[in-house]
Amino acid sequence: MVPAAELPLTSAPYSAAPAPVLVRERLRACMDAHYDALWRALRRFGVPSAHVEDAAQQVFIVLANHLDQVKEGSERAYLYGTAVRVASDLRKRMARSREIASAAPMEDHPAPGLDAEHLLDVQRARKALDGVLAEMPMELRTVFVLYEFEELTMAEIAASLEIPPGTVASRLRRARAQFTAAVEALRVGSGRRP
Amino acid sequence: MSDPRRLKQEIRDPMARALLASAELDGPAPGARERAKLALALDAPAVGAPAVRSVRSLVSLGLIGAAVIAGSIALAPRGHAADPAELAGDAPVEVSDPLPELPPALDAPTSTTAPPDIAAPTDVHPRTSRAPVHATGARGASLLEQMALVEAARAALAARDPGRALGILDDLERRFPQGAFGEEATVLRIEAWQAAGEGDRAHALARRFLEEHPTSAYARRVRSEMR
Repeated sequence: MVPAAELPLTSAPYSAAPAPVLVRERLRACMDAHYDALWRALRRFGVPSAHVEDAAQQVFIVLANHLDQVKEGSERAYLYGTAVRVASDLRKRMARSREIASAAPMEDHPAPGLDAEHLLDVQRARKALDGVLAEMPMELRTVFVLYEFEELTMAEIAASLEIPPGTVASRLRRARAQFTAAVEALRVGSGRRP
Repeated sequence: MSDPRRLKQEIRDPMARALLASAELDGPAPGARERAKLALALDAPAVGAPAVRSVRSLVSLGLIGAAVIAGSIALAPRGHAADPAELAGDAPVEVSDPLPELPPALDAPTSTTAPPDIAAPTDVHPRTSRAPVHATGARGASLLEQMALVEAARAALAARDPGRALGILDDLERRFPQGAFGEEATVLRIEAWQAAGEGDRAHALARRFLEEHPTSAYARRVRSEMR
């Protein structure tokens, strides 16, 4: 176990010193409310499953370091905006690291209650989804994931990414068109007809 | 301008729906959230608790930059400065026009009233706030089951086995009376009845379908069955 005090943080480490109760409660509430969704978003942003738990933890460490600067009620937007950048940073570093790119195999953690046969379908569909998303430019993929899967409003996405609302709409429109075209290509490739 | 409906509420293509639903079934490994809390010293470790993962592994592997950890870059979600796509130059484009209409295959139904024997399409995930992953997972699983049955019926019909297709469609409607693929199932039933020589039943159902769903993406296909 590596407690927070030993995390290799640099100039602005998260302090493992006991935080005020209210701060701890706020952080804990954020984790309860947003951890699972953030985990999924990181996966859809392209973080390999072998690293997504660490990346999610990283996002919350950033939040913890700057919680006093995040307005009450704005935590979700802050977390997603940070997740985009953590994922981006991770992808860039992975691209430079063949060793890491060939590290642990992808592994999924399906929701319980699905039988093995069904699981294959789900995994196949998710693999196809991630393939489709991987073909999208990152700025489109980010907006698509936040809007279609995480169900942020366009205003929330604009706030999270600090881009104009019109840009969010434009990117979503383009991302949807790419998604539809990619699904059609999948269908053609698999010989299935609607 | 109000936000458009989510794609999973609009889109009718089974494959696209399956892909979108599959994301809902994804989730962290059991205990991941608790490990994160431990790492942030929010919770005391329970006896026998699994070892805490930490960003140490990412740092030591060079996957997470110290600057990110320190928050000097990711201090606030100023968004895209670190995004390669942004660095590649994606100038914000202001648009005042609404999102375009979805292509015909994705058109939203204008009527939600279904005839008695036609299951109305329902919003796939009509939630307005995040539900626990297991709950959304169950919905997604149900959706994939429905999709599999629709695909099986379609395959049976393509194999010139309308009897089998009708049996599958009966099963689909029995198990999912308010299923997400009501229109697809009805269209397949019309075609199956037609193929089975039950033209009168096929025509009656086709007429009812067109009355209820005049702008359906399948309307033209159904009309062609009535000729």
